[in-house]
Amino acid sequence: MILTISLLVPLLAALLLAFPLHWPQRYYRGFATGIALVPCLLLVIAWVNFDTRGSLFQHVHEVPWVPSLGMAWRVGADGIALAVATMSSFLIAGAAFYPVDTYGRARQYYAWILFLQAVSLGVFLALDLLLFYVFFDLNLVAMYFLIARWGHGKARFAATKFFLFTLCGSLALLLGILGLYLSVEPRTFDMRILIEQQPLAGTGLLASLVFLGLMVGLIIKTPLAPLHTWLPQAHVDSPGPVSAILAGVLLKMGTYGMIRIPYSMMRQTFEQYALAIAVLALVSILYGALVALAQHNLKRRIAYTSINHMGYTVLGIAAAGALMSDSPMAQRLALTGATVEMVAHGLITGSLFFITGSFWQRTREYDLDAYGGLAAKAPVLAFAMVLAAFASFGLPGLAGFVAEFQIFAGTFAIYPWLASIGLLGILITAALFLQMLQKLFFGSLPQRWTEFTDLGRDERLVLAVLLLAVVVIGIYPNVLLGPIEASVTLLVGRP
Amino acid sequence: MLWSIPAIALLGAPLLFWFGRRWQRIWLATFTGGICIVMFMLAWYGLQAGWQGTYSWNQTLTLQLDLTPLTALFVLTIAATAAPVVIFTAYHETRHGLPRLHSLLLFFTGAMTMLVLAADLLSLLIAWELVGACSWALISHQWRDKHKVQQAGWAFLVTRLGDLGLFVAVFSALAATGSLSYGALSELGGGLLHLFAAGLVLAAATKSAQVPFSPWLFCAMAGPVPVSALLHAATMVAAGTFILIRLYDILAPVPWFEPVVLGLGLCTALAAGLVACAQGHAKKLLAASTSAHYGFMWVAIGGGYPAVATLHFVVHAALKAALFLVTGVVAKSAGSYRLEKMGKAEQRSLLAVISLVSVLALAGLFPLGAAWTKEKIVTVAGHVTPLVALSTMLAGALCAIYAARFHLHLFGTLGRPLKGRGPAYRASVAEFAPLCFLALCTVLLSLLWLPSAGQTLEEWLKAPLPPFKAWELILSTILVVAGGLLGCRLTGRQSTVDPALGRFFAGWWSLPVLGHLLVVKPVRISSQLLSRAEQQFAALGMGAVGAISHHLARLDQRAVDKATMLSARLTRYLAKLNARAGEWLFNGIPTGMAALCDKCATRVQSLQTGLSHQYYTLAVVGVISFILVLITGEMF
Repeated sequence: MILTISLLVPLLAALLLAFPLHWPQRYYRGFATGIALVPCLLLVIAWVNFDTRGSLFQHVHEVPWVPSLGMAWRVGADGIALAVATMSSFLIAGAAFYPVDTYGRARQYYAWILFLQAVSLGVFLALDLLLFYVFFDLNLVAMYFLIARWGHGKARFAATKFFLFTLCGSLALLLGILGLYLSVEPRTFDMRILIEQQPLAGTGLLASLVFLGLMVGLIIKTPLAPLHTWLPQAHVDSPGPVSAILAGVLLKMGTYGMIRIPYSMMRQTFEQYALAIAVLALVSILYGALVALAQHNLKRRIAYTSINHMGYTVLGIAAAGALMSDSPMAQRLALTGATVEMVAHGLITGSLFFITGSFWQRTREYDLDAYGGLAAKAPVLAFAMVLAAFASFGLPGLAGFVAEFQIFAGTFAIYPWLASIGLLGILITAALFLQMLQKLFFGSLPQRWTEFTDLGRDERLVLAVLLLAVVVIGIYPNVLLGPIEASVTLLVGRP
Repeated sequence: MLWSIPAIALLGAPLLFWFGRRWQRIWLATFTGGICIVMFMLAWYGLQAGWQGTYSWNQTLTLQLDLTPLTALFVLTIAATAAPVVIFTAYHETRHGLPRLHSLLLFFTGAMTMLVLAADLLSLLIAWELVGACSWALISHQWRDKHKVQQAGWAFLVTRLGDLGLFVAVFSALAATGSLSYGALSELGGGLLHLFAAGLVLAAATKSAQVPFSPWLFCAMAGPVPVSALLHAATMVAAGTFILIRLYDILAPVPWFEPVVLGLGLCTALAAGLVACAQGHAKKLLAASTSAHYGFMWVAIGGGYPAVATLHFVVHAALKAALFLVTGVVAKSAGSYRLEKMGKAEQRSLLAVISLVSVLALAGLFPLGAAWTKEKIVTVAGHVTPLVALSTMLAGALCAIYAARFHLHLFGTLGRPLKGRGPAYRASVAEFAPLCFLALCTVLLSLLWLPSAGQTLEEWLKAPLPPFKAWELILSTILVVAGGLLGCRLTGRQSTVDPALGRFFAGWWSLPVLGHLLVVKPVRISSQLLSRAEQQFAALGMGAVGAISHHLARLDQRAVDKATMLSARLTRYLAKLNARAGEWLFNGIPTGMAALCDKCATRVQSLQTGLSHQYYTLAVVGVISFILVLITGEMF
């Protein structure tokens, strides 16, 4: 029940905002933030009440909907889903609060943000495949309008490209979902039954085709190279907070979906293709890092590091799904690491994109070479970005390290060579972030930025909360690890 | 409880950063110096009390700290070096950014302490990375100078390259033993043990600035003087050597471990010695000498006596910190770190005495403690082969040459006071006190020459120290003296070596250029190529989509065009047709019908003949045809 409420509150509020209300413009932001914090609170309660010795899915709520199709309103969460959902709801609440230019259309902007929060939580909390798919696609709609109407540059073009590209992925995913649905008797979209029955185990070609459909859809969403080209353009042209949601929440749907559907429901097929997925992830790690190093556009550079980081996550998932019976400890580590990486990447890259939003609000300039010496004008901004950048390349004491250490430690026991080569990604990301910091903040201040202002109160508040979470997870990961490990143990232990 | 030692520094640093912005110099000195002294005392007390520390993330990932005599000795040295350095910093550096510098130095010291105390690989890795990141922040302290930030970046990246080796080592240990604790490492065997050792040696070589990674220390010279002092004497650079000493028992069974470490150490000692002899930049001279001295320690480890390396670390910490701080004072007067410009800048005899003591120790001259440890290293090398011992002695002679150069340039009678220089920088008492303390430590360490000292240390560290051999001791001392004299002579001459060769040595044997050519450039080019390829690919993809849509549009246009044209023509045709045939048709139908009716009427009229048999015949034909219709209607 608690999950249903956390989903419905922002949805109803979004519906309310769809009507012409004629409130003063500044009220909408406060309203949206207040509403967006409700799911945060509820999910934290759900997190605290999660029983680490209980069943896989908890807080389950089920209402019959279309019984003839085997579809129902089913929500519930394991530790993985709950961790990602909680992070997402906080990030979106931050995005609602983060000051941004809404071009006089505040009501519509915040309506879409709240709608996005509802459907994003829906993806992570759904226990029904069809419901999952519906939420998965509704995200695209919300994101399309947010980018197209409040973006800058070639926003229309970027939004359309994003929409069409990911819609193709969704269609592949839909075919996969239908394949799963048709293979189970009696027909049902209930994830718990599908996980339990492993319906396509041992069916050869059919299983492979369904798996391919699912993976193509999820890989486009994640995205892994070479299916990532929608990402940089969408990031560059969307407003800062929307970029933060795009990187922090939407990309997680791909990797979360991988854990939830192919990994959980088609374990045997996943084992068969785990190495291929791991190689693809490795390519993404190195490719994302190398291409990011060559970018001169601030936002593009961060966007490409997302590809690198999602590569780490997929590498962890692939290692956890590899055919290895003698090392469950390593597989648990890898999957836990992948989950922590989702949370960490959401918080860290979310913060980085919020900061790029602040840059755009002040200067309308993303070219790194145009900047320099800003540490003198904006020490708080510089501090926040240095912290986020160091977290992003995995400095110990910050969340990224906890994630990457576990991913690589787990993967090394299973694919030693892939893990060793993948480590180079850590080095290249360090190089690219140091170079970025140096270009932005150090050296002499160009004449045109003498009026550059430091972060405002609201911006500081959002970044402080996010970065505090990054530090706490880095120093005391126990807050995160309990429920995640409980679920991971159940998932990995599954035959 | 053991966590308290690193924790007070690691937590004190952010506190200082937030609350110390307006603090006076004296408060900064008291706070940071005080924490270092507390760390020293806690380590002393903790050793007696047998402190331990554990902190669990989960069952597999547990952070452990342990205080053994070895780690205690390191912690004591670190704290004892850090305290004078931070006090010196408080009074030597410019006010701007001073609290930040202090909090970073404190954090740096705390991270290094954690590194030393770590009893498992995860804690080690965490501390190892933190030390590296701190060094970046410290070196780029004067961030308004873009060049310095760049140098900091290079230093960080080179050491992080080595960190990847540590990552691999940690992972192979975890994969083999399922645990991260040092205690479980004895289970390591086979290929993974080799991988573990290789990773660790790579990580240690980069941190300890051994060949071929040594040049990063030159980049590190962009930082302020106290940073260099701490970085070289007790923290960052020591980390690599420390870990080899700490895990010596695990690594020694690997057959290639000792020869490789010995070889790297010896190469570094000789190569870096030549670099230091040729360098004209005071800090870089000292940086190269750091590489050389850590090279000596590696020779000791490679020769099988890690305890000797430990002791050499201690004496080196005291002398190197003092030398850097002396350089800082002199450079502030001279306004330059170029050796030829530093002469006669600072004429206070106390400074010269401190420098002389440290320089003699650097050269390894009897009766200073540094000489004792260096001669022990020569003895260890002699255990391997006499040739190694001779090479080590030669490296020692090189030390004497650059030590003499350094001191004579700064304080000798050779330097001429430059005209037009402002008044000399008057170092305060607060700067002299730490210097005197460090010099005093160097002098007191001469006690190592007492025969009982060696025995006590052997028992305490539970590790053997080799006995001296007379011929090695005598030959080595002769070489040191000869080196010193040669150094004095060389300093007087303007150019005794080929300048090109000098530049080659001074530029670290072109290693930075090579690294740039072999690693940095390929990475940079490939990243640019990939990025460009992607753009083109994306453009191609977009182009393809565009072309297709364009063609479709054209096709569409044409088709629509054609269809429109066609329909227009059709209409026109139909119109024409209508105009002729239509009119004819529509006109013809009614008139034709009328004509037909007219004809039918006349024919029907002709049937009315009045003949009854014709009428009957017609009636019969009609009935028959009616019946026929009925029948056929039935049939169909």
